[in-house]
This record gives sequence, structure tokens and C-alpha cells, in this order.
Amino acid sequence: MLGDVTDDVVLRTSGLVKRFGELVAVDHLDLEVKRGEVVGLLGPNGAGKSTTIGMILGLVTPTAGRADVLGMDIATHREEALAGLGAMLEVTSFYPYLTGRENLTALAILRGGGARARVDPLLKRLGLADREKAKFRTYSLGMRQRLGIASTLLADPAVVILDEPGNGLDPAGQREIRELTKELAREGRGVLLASHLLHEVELVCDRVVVIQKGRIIAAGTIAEITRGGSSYEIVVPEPARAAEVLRRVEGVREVRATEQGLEVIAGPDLGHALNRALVGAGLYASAIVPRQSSLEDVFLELTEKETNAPPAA
Amino acid sequence: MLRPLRNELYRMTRRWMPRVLLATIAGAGIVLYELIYYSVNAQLTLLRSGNAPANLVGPAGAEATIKQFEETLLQVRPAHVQELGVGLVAGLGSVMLIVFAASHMGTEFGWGTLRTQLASGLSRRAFLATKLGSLALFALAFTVLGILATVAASFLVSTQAGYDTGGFDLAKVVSAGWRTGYSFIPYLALASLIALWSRSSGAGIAAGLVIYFAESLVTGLLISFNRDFATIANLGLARNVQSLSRISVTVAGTNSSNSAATLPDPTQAAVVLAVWTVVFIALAVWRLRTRDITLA
Repeated sequence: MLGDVTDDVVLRTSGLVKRFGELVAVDHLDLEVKRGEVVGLLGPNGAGKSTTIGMILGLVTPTAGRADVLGMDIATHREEALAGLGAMLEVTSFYPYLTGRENLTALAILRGGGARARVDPLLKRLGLADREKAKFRTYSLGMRQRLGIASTLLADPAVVILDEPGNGLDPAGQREIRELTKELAREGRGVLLASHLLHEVELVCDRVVVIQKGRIIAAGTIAEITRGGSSYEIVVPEPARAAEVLRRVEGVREVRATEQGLEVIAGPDLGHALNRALVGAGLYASAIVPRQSSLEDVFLELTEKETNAPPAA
Repeated sequence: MLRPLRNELYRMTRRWMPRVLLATIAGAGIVLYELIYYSVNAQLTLLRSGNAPANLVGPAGAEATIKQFEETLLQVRPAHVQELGVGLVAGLGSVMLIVFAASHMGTEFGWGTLRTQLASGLSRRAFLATKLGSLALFALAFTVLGILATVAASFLVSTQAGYDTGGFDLAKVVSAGWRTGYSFIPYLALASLIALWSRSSGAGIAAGLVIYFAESLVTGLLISFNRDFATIANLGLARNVQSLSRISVTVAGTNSSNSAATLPDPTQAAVVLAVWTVVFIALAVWRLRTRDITLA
């Protein structure tokens, strides 16, 4: 299946919209995943991540727009498109009366091709070989997640969608999944990873797309996203007057008072400009400490800002 | 189309419920034949000895009651399997297959496995076709096994009782079995539709059984009051099934003479049942096609 991929973009959504009555769950979402990259899909609960994945899989019918997998429109070529896609959904659902092996075998029969020959290697790869004969209903949450990931790889897909794969896994398990996700990308697959574990996303993803209320509010590489979110801790006398001065500096988005002095949210590489402005006003800082925001800082800032924003007219 | 069916059969053969149902219908055939023989025989022995309680003797007197019981006993002979044996399979089978059909469909929603199947590339139409196809195969196996069990029970009990085991007519048994199997189909489609619509096995079982019993009861009562009601009742399921199966006693025990006389002819019954089946399947296709399968 991997050999069939000629286009770099293996997954694309264009102007994807989903309305449930008055509620706009997904609002003109454009997304691309290229072969060999891991794209993180981030957003708070109810942001539209699962609905987006549902539309990509053809489980949810879009109100407008389209989703293409391996260049095929999911609306018109669903079966052919999904033959090259493996998806692990947020809630992993298997038959409780079947063992782990039997569940994989049943799906392999459905997939056809060489899927049945992949059952054994996948059970080993995901660390399930010891419990392959246990019924699914006896599996822990972590084991269910592993079985879910194994099922995505049965068809040797060019596109992999993982929805919250780290759920229920202990730290060691989460690390294994991170390594596996990177490995999938190294093998040339395009991976769309939806997760609320921002640290996981930061460590794994090449690019991230942050959505809220169904709209993209930020997109880019981790560096691009976090660069815009630098902050500076400034210890300065007369903090109230210093805050007035700093607010006038170009690139400064916010100035907040802290116990130590001031926290300035600004673009990167603005330390010298802040210092020059303070000196120009006769204020001499005893410390200007730049701090690179983590993805979590930026995510929270972006989503809080969006939540507090007044509704569009 | 074959891969989804193989997938379905792979799972079905590993599930307990179909095995239990098959074992039950096979066991029930034998147990019921034995019960009928021993209970009627015990009453007959009492009547012949003259020690029977008064309520056992019918209004026509002891001799007539003995004759009636002797005729009942003869029903266990292989020559009557197409009536008693197939009738037992029809009565028990309808209930058991309604339960199975609703569970077969509803658990896919309850367990969330419909999402997993569809996300693996299965189309909704293929899913539904596979479900109904596997259900039909199971109903066929169920009917054949049930009838085989009653045939075996009939020979067993007749041998125990010293009755003539001759007169077994395979063609008649096959014909009655075929009509019984055919009459299961609309109920299977109905139970599947309700389970799919409600996304629940429980709702499919409850509604399927209520319709199965209530329709028979209500139409029987109405027709016993006024034969004209038969025109409307004959457009439903119960009376067409009754006509096709020629079961002497309805599930609700309401086979009054008025009711029996106004049954539709078997050809009309087969057509009406086929139309209902198509309607139920078409509604199921439409509902599944237009429904969003949400992930949460």
C-alpha cells in the first residue's frame, strides 16, 4: 500500500463543514498531511476533532467541503480510499467475546490482502502476544489502546489516524506509542494524531493544527507556533509606569503584573527593544529573563483567548 | 461481498448466543415430544383406570375424552412431524429468532463495533447486507436443526411407546419447514430494523416480541367479533404467517373458527410477507445511510 502513494499529500480536507442543527461543529477546515510527517490535531473537548476524523472516515457526512485520502474523495471512493487508511478511534471498540487475536483476525478477514499475515507481527510489535488469547473484555484500557493501534496497521496503510492513542497508558506505554508514531512516519506513512496530551504532541509532531469551535486558530510547526508565544519576566522599579512604557513597544501583546515584577507576552527576540524602551524612560531593570513558551502555554493562551473573544457579528 | 460475510461468520461461530439457541431448539424438540407423550399418557392411564379427577373428564364423557387423548398421542408419530414438530419449531423459533436478530444488529451499536467495522472500509450497505445475510443463514440452520431434532424425537418417542413409525413423509416435512422458514423472514427484518433504528438490542427484542404477540392476539379477537376486520388484519404479518404455516394453534391461542375461515390464501400470504420484508429492509437501508455514526 505504501508503494502506491505517489503524491506527497496523503490526506487533505478542503473547506470541511459540519453543522448539527444550529451548532457548527466544524467550520471550513483545511488540513493536509504529507507522507512521512506527523500532524497533531489539537483542541479542547468539543472543538471538533472527532467530528473531523469522522468526516475523514466517512462516518459523518459533511455539510460542505470534502476529504481526500490518497487523492480519492471519501464521498465517492470511500472503500478504495479507506483501503489505504488505518484509524484508531478515541473509544476503541472491539467484540468483547473475542480474544485480542480473534478481533484482529476478524478485521484482517474484512481487510483482505495480506492483512491476515500481519496479525502475528502486530501482536508482537504492540506487546500483546502474551495476552492474545485473553478475551477483549478482560483487557485493561492500555491493552485496548494497543489493540486499537494494532488494528490500524493491519492494512499496512499509507495514512494513519490516531485519536488519543495515549489514553490509559502509563508513562512507559506512552513513550512506546510516541516511538511507534515516529516510526510510522519514518516508514513513509502520513500520521494524523489527535491528542490532548500536549507534551506527547510536542515530542512527536512535525506540525500541529489547533482548532476550537471547529475553526483553525493556529497552524504550523511546533517552533513556529511556540515562537509567537515568547514571554519575558522583568524585574524593574516602578512597575506600573514600566508597564505603561512597555505596552507601547511594537510586538508586545500583553503586560501583566506579577509578584516579582512584570510578565510581558511578546514576540521573540524583543528583549533588547524592551530594555531600550525602559532605559529611554529612565527605568533600569535589574533582570530581563526571556522564557520560551511551551506548546501547552501557547495552546492554553490561544484557546482561552478564543473562548473569551466576543462572537463574530 | 464475500469478505464481509466471512468476517461476520467468523465472529458468529465464536459467539455463545447462536450456539445456545441452536442447542435450545434441538433440545426443546426432544424434551417437548417426551413431555407431550408422558403427560398425555399419564392422563390417559388415569382415565382408563376410572380414577381420573372430574375436571379431567370432558363434557362429552370419559370415553370421548379417552378417544381425544389417544388421537393427541398419535400426533407424536413420524407421520405427523410436519404438523406437530414443525409447529413447535415455528412457535419457539419465532421468539428465539426475534431475540437473536435484534441482538445480532443491536450489539454492533452497543459495543461500538459498527464504527470499527465502517472505519475499516466496510460500506454501510455491505454491513447491512452481511448482517441480514448471516441472519438468514442462521435462521436456515436453526430451522433445519430444529426440524431434524423433532423428527428424531418423533422416532424416539414412537419407538418408546410402541407406535408405528411408518408414514414419515419427507416431502411434506420439507414443504412445511420451508414455509416456516419463510414466515420467519419478515420478523427477522422487523427486529433488525427496530434494533438499528433505536441502536439497541433491548428495544429490538421488546418491540419485536410485542408486535409478534400483540398483533396475533388483537387481530384474532377483532375477527372473532366481526369477520369484516379480516380484510385489514390480512394485510399484517400474523395472519399471513398463520396462513402460510398452517399452524393449527396460533401463538396467542386465538384461532377461532371465524379467524381460521378468513385467513388469506397462501400465495397472497407469501406476497404480503415479501412486501413487508422489502419495506423493513428498505427502511433499514435508508436509516443507516442517512445516519451519522458519531465517535463518542
